[in-house]
Amino acid sequence: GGHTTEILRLLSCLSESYSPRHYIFADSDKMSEAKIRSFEQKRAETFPNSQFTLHRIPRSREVRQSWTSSVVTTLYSLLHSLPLTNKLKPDLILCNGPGTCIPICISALLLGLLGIKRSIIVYVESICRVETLSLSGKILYYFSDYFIVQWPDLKEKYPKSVYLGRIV
Amino acid sequence: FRFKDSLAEDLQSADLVISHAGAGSCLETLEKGKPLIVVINDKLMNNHQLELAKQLHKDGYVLCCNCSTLVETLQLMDLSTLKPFPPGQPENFALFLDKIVGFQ
Repeated sequence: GGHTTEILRLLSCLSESYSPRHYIFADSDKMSEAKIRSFEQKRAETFPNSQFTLHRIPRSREVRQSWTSSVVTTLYSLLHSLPLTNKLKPDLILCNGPGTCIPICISALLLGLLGIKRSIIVYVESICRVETLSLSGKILYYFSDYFIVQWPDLKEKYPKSVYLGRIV
Repeated sequence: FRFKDSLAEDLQSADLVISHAGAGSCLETLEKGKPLIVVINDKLMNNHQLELAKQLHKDGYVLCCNCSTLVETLQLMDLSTLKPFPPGQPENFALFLDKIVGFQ
């Protein structure tokens, strides 16, 4: 819920050049679809030719799930996300922290390594993260092209990150 | 009240909000300009929710307490000490993204 709200806010000022938009979320997520549709409906009032699609992949990790079982469930998510990412071949991947983003980013990195498609990965850490990074953040700090934090403490701790102030 | 789609209406008509430290709840409330008391759940270990509540409290945007001090906080609170919460700026994100993607 929080992640979806944040990402929709991030999208709110983007021009129509960022189209089509493909939203990927966990199959067990019951609330995001409605929020996304509502956002896109509103957007279509200003940009009538707006295009978007929705995709569900298995959730890679439940909150506080153990390490070893997380690796297994993430691999299972990867089985779904790799063909999906290959099909979509995104130019830009924007993610903000739910475990769902990890298999997508891994897929994108693999496709990049194989010379099939190079996607720009932009990660925006959640506004709730003031002093510490989320697990997804800790991983993607090293694998994203741009890593954005919203509080100065984090910029100090993670010097390769980008600090733009509060953006949601 | 279990899973209402949106609390926006309730927030709009409230004079004071008492909430857990969830980011969505805090931010939605602050953006509507409502005074907010954040109740911290000290039973949740490694609670990263605390980070935001602590920062918001430090910056003077919210009052903080835990379950046992809530009543005292309500009795002694001075809401005029709370600062107005400036909105986030997604337009800065859009500017940044346009630059790195090459749309200028």
